Amino acid sequence: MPLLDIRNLSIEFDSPHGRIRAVDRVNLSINPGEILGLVGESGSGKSLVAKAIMGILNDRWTVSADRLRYNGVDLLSLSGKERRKLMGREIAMVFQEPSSSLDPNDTVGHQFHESLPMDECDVSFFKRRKWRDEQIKSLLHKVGIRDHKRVLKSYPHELSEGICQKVMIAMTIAYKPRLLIADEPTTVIEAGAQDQIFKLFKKLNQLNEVSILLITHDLEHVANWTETITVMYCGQTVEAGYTKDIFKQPFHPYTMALLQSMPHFDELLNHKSQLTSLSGCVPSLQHLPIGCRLGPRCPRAHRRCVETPSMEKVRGHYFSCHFPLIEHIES
Amino acid sequence: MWFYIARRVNLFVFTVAVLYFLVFLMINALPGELATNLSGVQNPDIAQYDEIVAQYQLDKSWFNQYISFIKQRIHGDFGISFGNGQSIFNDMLTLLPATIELCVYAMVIALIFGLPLGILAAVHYNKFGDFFLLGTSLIGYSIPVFWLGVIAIMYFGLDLQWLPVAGRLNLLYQVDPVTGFTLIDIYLSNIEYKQLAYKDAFAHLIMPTLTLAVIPATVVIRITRTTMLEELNANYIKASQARGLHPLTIIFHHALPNAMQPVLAQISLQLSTLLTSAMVTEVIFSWPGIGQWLIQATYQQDFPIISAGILVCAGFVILVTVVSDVLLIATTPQRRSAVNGSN
Amino acid sequence: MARTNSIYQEEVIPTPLRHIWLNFISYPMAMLGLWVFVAFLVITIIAPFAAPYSPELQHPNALLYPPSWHDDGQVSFFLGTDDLGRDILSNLLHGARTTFGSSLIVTIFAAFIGIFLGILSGMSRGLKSSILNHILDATLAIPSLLLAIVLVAISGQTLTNVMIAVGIALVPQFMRATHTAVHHELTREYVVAAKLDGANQFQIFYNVILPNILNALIVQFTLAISIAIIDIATLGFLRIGAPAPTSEWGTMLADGVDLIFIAPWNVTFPGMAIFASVLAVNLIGYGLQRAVKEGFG
Repeated sequence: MPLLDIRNLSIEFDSPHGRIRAVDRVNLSINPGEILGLVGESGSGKSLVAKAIMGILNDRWTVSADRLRYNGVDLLSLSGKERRKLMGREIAMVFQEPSSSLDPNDTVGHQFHESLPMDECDVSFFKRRKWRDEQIKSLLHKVGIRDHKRVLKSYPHELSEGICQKVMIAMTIAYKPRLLIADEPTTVIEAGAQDQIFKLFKKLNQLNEVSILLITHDLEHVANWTETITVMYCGQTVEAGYTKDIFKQPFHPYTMALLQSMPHFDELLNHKSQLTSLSGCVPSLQHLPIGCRLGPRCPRAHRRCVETPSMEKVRGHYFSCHFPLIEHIES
Repeated sequence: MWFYIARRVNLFVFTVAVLYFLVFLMINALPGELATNLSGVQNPDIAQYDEIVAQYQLDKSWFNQYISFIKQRIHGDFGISFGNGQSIFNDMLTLLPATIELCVYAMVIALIFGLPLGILAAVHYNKFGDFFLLGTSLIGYSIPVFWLGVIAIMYFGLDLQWLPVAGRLNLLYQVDPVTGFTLIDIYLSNIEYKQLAYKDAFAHLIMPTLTLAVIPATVVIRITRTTMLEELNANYIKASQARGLHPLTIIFHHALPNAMQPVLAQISLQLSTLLTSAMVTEVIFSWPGIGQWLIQATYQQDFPIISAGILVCAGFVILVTVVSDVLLIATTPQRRSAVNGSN
Repeated sequence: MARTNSIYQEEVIPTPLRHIWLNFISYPMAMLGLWVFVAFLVITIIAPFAAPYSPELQHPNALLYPPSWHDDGQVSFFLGTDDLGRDILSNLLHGARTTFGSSLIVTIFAAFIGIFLGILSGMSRGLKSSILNHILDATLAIPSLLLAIVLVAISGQTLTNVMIAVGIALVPQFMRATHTAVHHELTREYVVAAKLDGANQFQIFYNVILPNILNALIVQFTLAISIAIIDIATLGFLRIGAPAPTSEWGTMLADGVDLIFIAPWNVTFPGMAIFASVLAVNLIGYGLQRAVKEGFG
């Protein structure tokens, strides 16, 4: 049974131009102990999906889905209190700009103290403080921060982004979650620390059986660190499947364009040649195309593309396209 | 940080110097004899005139006059009033605490009511509660303070006879003015009917204080609402929600302390408006404070009192502004270094 | 937002000013404020023609008539009369010229001077800027009422002097708001870009800074109008404002206080007039603030 099961998730909001569907019937599923990469450009709605799972969207957004289940529990029907019990305990989220995810006027140590779970504390009242300090120290060492004293005493703006992100991860794993949602965790971090953070994710996944939903737009990271990926374009899922399969043979024209846009430096590039990309640009929210949203830009589009294609499956590889890039379809 | 405090104190000194200069110019522009306006002695004879000239160096350049003007005032010599020939400084000492009492209590009430309502409005953003509070605060901000005072007197004082309409304390209670603040003085004195005295002082305080507190309360509501809205949309609030912290913890431990700083900064800016309203309130309720003293002086064209009043009021405002600035920086150094360091 | 008739969906993006206006219109409270403001403006202009009687005209046999909807009232004295037999409606209409009209004029002048000085002080740096700042702080610290009292004491009690006094009290507020706005803009990167392009101070100001501070200035202007109205009315109430024969809402209120029990309408109507005009201006100001914020949000 998948740990996180999402079917036909739609997120809409009311604008002066009418009801806009920012995320249109997205499907996603993560199995226990799996690392899923959610790939897409900026504006494809990936962060919205993550925030909808956590339930921290503004009141402006309306979330509706056929299935939005975590471990069999329907997230949409939970009350605020029950939702809060799930969040942080079983599902945890790490954000894009780690230093702005911490209160700028509070020391890191104080904030860590606040969000430490006290359920497993079996020590008497007087020894609690020491117990908490021990826990925090061990958590920080687990994520690779050696000088924990300095880090705990500092304010968020005094620490580098890499360290802040590690602190955020430490705060989340304090609860031993089963699902960790990482929303572009390394975009603002320097390359050396990026590597460390991915290794940390891998360690968590292998040792503690934590499933990870990695949201990113960097295909290199996805290729190296994930087992399955889901590709989103403009609020719609276009392809999903095992990373190896998709990288070997993508079925959807958009995925193909994404892979082709990565410059391969092992081939010889012509002097001053243009890099390959799809013509046109991502449509604005006010003028979303009907049907398949890649339609206006897709080189393989025909009249049929004004109907939204449904998800089809070929050998564990899902795609939604009327004219996919496969030679023959097994019936 | 000490460097910053030194700069602030320097600013205070300089601003007060500019204030004295402005008042000096004003006194020179007033009709009548300069010597009379500076010292308060009307129709001085030769000996007094020479004394005044010596004190204020009226025979030397204007720069010397300015310096000696400052010197005289700093030593406590504000001259004597045209009306009753009393030393202005002594009068001021008895009247200033009454005004300060009114202003401080009104500000405290404004904060006590304004802060929670502002937070409520921010939390219920774009819902009925928000609109209601915003509308009420707009209405409260638009009512002229004297109209409100007059209506309050009409209903609560005269129609319903619930509250007294004038003065600070019923004359039956003989309380020694030690500090000048009525409630503290009652506490410190040893008259027999302390409870009754408290009740009476309180009854006299209610209407002026509440009338004065309306406008600052509405300003506090609006500013709190704006800053809380900004904070509640910040990244770190979303992150703490994602960690599962209780909403009340989030509001009171994280959002509110960060939102307070602009609120407190704005309050010190509101001080001179508060003083103006306080003066009008004092006239309406016959509250024996600086405001009423000044207005009476205006009717009687009592120039020494007017100039002394400006010095005291404006000086008070500047002092409070500088002190609140220093306090703000002292309690939140990280904000300052965050603003200076990153971004 | 507006669509053309072609098949291709072109986006007609409204200019920021039009955007603000459209947003402002959609907010009913602000529109109400605007209508009431326009009504007061119209009254100010046509008062001498619309008032049934001259404001100083006393009717000795019509003392203390209540408003016309009371049993003893008369339609010819629509809102009643005061203790000297003067018609309240006419006084209110003429008082609109004094309180409302002169506060508008005062605010416009104070805005010009204050904004000009504020721009000078905002664009300057170093010692000059810091000195101007200190002078500004000192002037801001003086309560506006005291400033008005002193100026009236110096040059006598006439309507013009009252207007000048209130104007002088308003100038520092404009200066402070402009100075803050300009300082904030100067830290932006597009100003640095313009400087690198070779623009001199005036060009930077006119092309880069001015369009961006206009919004803050407009909001400050509406705020200043409401302050001016209340200041002039307060001065009138304390009887240091416009002298006796001029009708002014604050003075009418002060006159009515003595009669508050036998003829409460003397206090209610001027008070309502002041309240309504200030509320209208504040509503407009709030609507503008909201429109400006959401226009770029």
